[in-house]
Amino acid sequence: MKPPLLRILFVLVAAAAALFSLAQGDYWYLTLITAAVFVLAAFIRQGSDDTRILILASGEILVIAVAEASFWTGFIVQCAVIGAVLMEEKVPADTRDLTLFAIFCIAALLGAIILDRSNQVLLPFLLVTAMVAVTTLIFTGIQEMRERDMYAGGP
Amino acid sequence: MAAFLGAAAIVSGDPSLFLATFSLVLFSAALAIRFRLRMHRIVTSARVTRSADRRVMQQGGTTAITTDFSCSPDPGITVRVRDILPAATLSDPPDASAVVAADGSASIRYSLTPLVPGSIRFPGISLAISDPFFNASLLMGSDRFRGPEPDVHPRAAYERSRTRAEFGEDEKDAPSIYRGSGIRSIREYHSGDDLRSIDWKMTAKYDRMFIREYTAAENLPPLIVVDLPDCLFPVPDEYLTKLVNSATGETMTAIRNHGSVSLFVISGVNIIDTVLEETDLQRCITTLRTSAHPHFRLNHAYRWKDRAGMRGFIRKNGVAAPWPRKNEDDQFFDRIAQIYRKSLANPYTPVFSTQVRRLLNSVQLEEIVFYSLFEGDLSHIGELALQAQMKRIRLKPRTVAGLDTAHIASIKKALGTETVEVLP
Repeated sequence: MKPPLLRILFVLVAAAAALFSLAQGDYWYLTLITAAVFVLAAFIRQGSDDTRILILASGEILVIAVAEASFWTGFIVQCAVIGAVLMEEKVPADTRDLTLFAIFCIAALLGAIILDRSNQVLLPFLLVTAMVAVTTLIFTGIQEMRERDMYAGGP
Repeated sequence: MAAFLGAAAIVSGDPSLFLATFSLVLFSAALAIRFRLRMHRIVTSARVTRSADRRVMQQGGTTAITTDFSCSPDPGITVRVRDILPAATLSDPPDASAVVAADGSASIRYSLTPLVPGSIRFPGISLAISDPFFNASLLMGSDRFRGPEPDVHPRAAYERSRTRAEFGEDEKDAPSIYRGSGIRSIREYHSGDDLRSIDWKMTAKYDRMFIREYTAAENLPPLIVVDLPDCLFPVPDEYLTKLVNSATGETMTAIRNHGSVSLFVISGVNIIDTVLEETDLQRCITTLRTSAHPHFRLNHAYRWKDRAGMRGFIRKNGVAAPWPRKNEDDQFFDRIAQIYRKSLANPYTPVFSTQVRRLLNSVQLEEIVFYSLFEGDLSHIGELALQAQMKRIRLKPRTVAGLDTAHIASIKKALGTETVEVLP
């Protein structure tokens, strides 16, 4: 099965960003190895769902390795990894998926700014993560409740 | 993965781990929201059309249900739709569900058997939606996903008015709920009698309440006889298929119109299967399908003694010729008549005749629908026709197209009927 065009594009962006960060970190060989694993995972032949999980897992390791050297390059790699996982189905990509990706990038940028500018990381991280989780739970909960009210019917 | 990374980030305090963890949590949240929005699009576009092949059925009967579902699923989403069965019903197959195709349509077909009388209502459908990351289910039971509401009549309403204790013995075990227009008798009113049956003229005349007792109306189901060919005589498969299909259709019609049907499957004088006053269509169809092939005939009617024919011959030729006999023909006829007289002196009843007589005595009939290819010996058909005539039962012979005119004429002669219906 041939990898989709959009995925190739995002993988190349992530790989290029990783190569760019090689000069800045101490553990350049780790970045190189994780980048190679990520590229291999993206181009290996297997079922669609397994490929996504593999790309996400190897991509997160790459994000950690790159962010160790450069926090903002790590952020770019993170966005590229999520793009490779999210958009694979068709070209041009679904408008809804593109919107979702854009919202994700903006939210991740805000989170990254908060984490980067804070004096200490733990408290802002917990705060922002809890906010995201609670917002999602409230949204999905209300949505589910509305659907049940509208369609479940009464006795 | 996010939890593992989060724990590692808290322990090590490394910003890169915090970034990865936060991104994963955010990504999961985005996927969850996307999944919910996709699910919302599916449930808002969902349409259900459900139909039952009959609106009124008997308790324990079977009706075919077809549920057509349509929606607008996004790519990558799997939707499984399941019809929720009404309470106290059985379905075949037990799990009435289907996976929605890429175009958003799905069709569920199953047969439903209600176990209790009353009005049954389909409660709705259940949707199971999944994508590579999430799955959820939703019960859709609002008005537009419900219905129809077939009426289930109690079993007693369809109970046989007569049961067979022994062959030839009938016993009336319950009053029929169907009443005729004739009045059987008039009696005084007792508490609990139907007020609609009060004879107001008699009541006014004698100043006491009188009740009319109506005659019961009985709808007699037909007997369907399928005569299968001998496997030693090659018969085209299409003929046999047409014959069995037509018999199956007649069975369905009889059960729909009369509530029950009797089947008698034979091959010549060999009885293959007998089903009497059966109300279950599935069982009738199974009987027909399993036995619908040419059979090896163990017994034949070639050596049957045609007693009616022998009597006729004796009447015509059996008077002894004056002595001395004129020619050899007279001697021959005289000899044959002697042999026939000797045969008639001994009681002889073929087994098949006894079986047919018992069958016709055990069920009340008005009509026999007879399916046959009329190949080979027709003696058994003649016997069946004769006994039907004696019981004043109408015989409707049917065969498939392709028989020549002379053959059909010989069939009419054997059966003593005017018409033989030829199936197209």
